[in-house]
Amino acid sequence: MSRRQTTLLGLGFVVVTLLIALRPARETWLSLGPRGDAFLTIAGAIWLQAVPFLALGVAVSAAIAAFVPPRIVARLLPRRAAAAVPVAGAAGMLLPGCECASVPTSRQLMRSGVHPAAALTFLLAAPAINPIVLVSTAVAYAGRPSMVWARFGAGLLAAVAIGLVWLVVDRGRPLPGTEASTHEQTRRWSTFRDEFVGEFAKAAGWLVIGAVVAGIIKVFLPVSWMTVLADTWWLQVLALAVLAVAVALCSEADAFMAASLTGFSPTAQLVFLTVGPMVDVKLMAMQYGAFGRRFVVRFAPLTFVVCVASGLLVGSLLLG
Amino acid sequence: MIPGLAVALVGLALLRLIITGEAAFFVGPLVRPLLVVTAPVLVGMGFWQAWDALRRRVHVHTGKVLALLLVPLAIVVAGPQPLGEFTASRPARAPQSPTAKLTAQASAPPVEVDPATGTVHGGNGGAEGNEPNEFGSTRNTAIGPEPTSFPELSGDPAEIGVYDYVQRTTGAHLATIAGRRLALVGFVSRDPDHPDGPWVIARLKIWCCAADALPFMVTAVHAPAVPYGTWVRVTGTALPPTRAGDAQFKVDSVEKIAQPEDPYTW
Repeated sequence: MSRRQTTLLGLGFVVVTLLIALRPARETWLSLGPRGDAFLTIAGAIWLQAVPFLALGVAVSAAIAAFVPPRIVARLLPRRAAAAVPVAGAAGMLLPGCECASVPTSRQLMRSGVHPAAALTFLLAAPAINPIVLVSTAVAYAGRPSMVWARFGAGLLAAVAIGLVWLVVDRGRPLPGTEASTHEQTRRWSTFRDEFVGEFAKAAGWLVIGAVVAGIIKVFLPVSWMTVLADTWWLQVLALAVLAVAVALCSEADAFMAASLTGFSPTAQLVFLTVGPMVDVKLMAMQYGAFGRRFVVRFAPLTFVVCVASGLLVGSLLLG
Repeated sequence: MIPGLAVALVGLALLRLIITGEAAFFVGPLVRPLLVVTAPVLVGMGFWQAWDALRRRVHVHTGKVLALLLVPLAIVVAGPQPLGEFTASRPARAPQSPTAKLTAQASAPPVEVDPATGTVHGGNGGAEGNEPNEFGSTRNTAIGPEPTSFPELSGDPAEIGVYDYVQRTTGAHLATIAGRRLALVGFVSRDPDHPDGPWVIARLKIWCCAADALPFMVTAVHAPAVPYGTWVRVTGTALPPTRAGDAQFKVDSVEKIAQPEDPYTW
């Protein structure tokens, strides 16, 4: 291990021990005030709630890397990429996590030879249409089951559409960080362990940036200013689409926030529910870590535009 | 080796949160069992990897991003505070109608409850005023399914949750609690609509984690002054909501209490 890493570890232990030792002073001279405390709690909460889902996604991806030969993974989807994209979208129903779980999983799918467009479709669809998300949406919108169907339809439509667009623009070029893995197949459990630890440490680290940005936005930017301009329908839609990117809620809980935005039209709420699982600040940070900057600056705007369009289309059909 | 130790350290921090109960400041009851399952996995995998890396001199490469893990570790061990008055008293949305200012009042007018019949006289609410949001309230009303039955209340005064109270009084279920002596537990907060008006008994409701917290509040009518942010147990009787749809409560006594182990409701 390098000297810098050792320094870092030593520093980490010192900081953590000091903070525990100084707890009695926390409310007096270490206090950051109510806004600072709210920021710390929100940023910490976003990170903390993501950890179990991140561990699940990393465990799935490490298991694929260690135990499933690439040729078997490739056989799960149709050979033709244009057919693989919708199948990958529907397969999103199988990963019962939120968006944090799907980033490592889809990256591993690419490393196992799945077409990037199909793996990205899975990445987008899984947090939007999996059963847990649909059930929590049904609970939040009790008495209005049309919102559950609209969310499912708009999410699947957007994921498949983005996958097909990606197929055309990127022509199957592999993304950075998805080179085929070169593990010896003999030491399977140590491969699993090393993949799990390495991927978890990286993804949990990138997640910190997203959680901190979302926390700052939440305590410094009052939501109320958005509602002031929301008298026109398209401003309502735009305001909630931007809010979904900014607050970075877990897709399993965002329906409760959406249901509380009673001043906004159902279609605007649907756009919030479609954008949130697919593009928000914490996802952008994680995708930056997994696939690099060049990917994020192209993929995030594409996802945002297609999600808004899909939400509008399905909303006008199903929600009136 | 270092990534392994870092992952183990994250697992240990999670264990600490679970044991001290401070996990409840960050995440709801649905995520907490997931943390209980995740923490030992992280500790085990982390130490196993670190030990093997030391023995076999093979390394997992993570780069500088590993250093960022210090931020959440620092947050969760440094005496975290649950969200409270700051979050509850921020206006969540602008008044939906310009008439909101017209209905704003410095304090709620006197209200009498007939102990024999449970009927309420006075106040600025009433059966016909029961239309949330129509007059520009920005307070949260009940979210989710309207229950077909409410939990039985027992004791005198009967303990009732802030969310349950809001649901009963701003829905059409006031009769289930009218005339009964009730006790509400929450913290003292400003009313986001009327920061200079009477204080409210507030509680934050969370689903997944503290980032999705929504405040629910009940205006304390005829209550003594209490510093904002104090946790209180308030005893009194139910009132119908104001014309703007805001829940309110006739206060008989206020008792300061320690912050509950689970500061949020769900």
